[in-house]
Amino acid sequence: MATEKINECVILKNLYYSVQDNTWVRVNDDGTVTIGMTDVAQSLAGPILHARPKKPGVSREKGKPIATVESGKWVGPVKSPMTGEIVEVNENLENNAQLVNKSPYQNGWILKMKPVNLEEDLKDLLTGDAAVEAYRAKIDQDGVTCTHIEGTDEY
Amino acid sequence: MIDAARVSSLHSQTIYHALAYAMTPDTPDTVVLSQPGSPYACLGFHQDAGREVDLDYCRQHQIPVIRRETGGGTVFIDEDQLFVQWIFHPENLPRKIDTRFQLFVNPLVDTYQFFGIKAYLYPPNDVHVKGKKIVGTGAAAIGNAEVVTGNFLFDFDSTQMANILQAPNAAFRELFRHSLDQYLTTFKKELGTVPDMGSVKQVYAEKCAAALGRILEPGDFTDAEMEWIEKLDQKFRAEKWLFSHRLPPVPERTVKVHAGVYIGEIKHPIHGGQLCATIRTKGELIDQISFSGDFSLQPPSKLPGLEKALHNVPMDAESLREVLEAFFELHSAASPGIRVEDWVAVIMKMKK
Repeated sequence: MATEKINECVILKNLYYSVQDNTWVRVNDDGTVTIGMTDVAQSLAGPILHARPKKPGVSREKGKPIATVESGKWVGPVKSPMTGEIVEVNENLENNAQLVNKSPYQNGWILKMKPVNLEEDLKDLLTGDAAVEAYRAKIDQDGVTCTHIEGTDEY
Repeated sequence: MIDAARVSSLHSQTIYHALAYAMTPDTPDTVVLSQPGSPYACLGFHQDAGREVDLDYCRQHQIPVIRRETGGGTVFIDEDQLFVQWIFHPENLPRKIDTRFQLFVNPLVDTYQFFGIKAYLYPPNDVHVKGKKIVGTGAAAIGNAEVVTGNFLFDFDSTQMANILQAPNAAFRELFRHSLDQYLTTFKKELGTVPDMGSVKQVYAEKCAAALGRILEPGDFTDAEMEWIEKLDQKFRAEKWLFSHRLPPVPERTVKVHAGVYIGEIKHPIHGGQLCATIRTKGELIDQISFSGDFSLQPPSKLPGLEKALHNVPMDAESLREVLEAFFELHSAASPGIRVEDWVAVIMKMKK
């Protein structure tokens, strides 16, 4: 899998990113998308104590909150990078929210959504080298260095 | 800067949320000062009200319980506190949370120091005086704003704080109250008296302007912000909001006193019942521990010695095993039906 590391922050080139809201999207074979927080987002938040996604069946517009996360220092929303209906949430987060820190792109996914207009919404996201370059600028501007509790090498 | 002066318990929470939700690109960054007008219990966003707060006690004593949208634990709030809330455009605050807290905490520290209290930043986000906490802070993204909150403690009613908290038993509540006395401090404790709140506000405004490098202009709520306050008053009053987060029951009860200091009531199944431990940890060490439950220690007079022997022992299984085995051997003590591993297990559950 093509990956890039910038200040220890992992960017997977095959994902789509909302760089502004620090979320990623993986397009699944069944037409759904998996959504999660980026490595940059989990590092900025610090060790996450609670991650509470909205429930399956809830419809959300792009830019609206689909989950809230709480670290020891901050509470904030995870904003949806797509418009669609939530079809599944990562139930493992209820008892182990730090999966978001440990494995932001794999076991720490937040939810799955059935997008209303996948192709249109993907146009507003960045992927591949474009995502890497956008993150390089953002990480540089914000002075972010990512920290992993474990699992750095799995990407 | 808006000096909201003395406000109702509800408004002391809804005002800063409202300013955040009402924020538009044209809204100025705002610093709000307010004094809660009456006591209440304030619940963190992800907390379960039933699990954290003694709701019966609060009802009997007419203490409202209000859930906020910032994180952290349950706190007791009353008129002896001065709230400081920043509602800023995200781009006007450092993106890194630690740096953001440093910016927020500096004028609080400077203000305490102005009044002769040797306060300092205890990273990432607390203010301490000789190891005791004197400011609690929180942060959240609300609406289009980034919010940072803190408070000046003029005095603190640790008994009432302990009373509003859901406690498994009286010993736990007493240990919590005692710990608050030990690990929290206030203007009154440090100076023997409280300064005039108006003077504190004035000094804080100067220090805050200096820290931000900006002029703080006096302001007032806009119509849109007033509408949001009314809307949030209704939301925060509703039981649906208060009980919006329910968690499955757990046998353990743990409470944070301040950074690195926790109290826990932990249970571990043993043959014929339960082994319970009420523990206070400081960093990685056991600071205080007492055992109860369905066990017998022979001779019984050795129980206080066992509890004392565990003081300052690291919370790792090997160290605990070593101390426990040495204690039982040295004092010819025994706990029929309970293995050393059970004592170790109940303590290690606290670490989890």
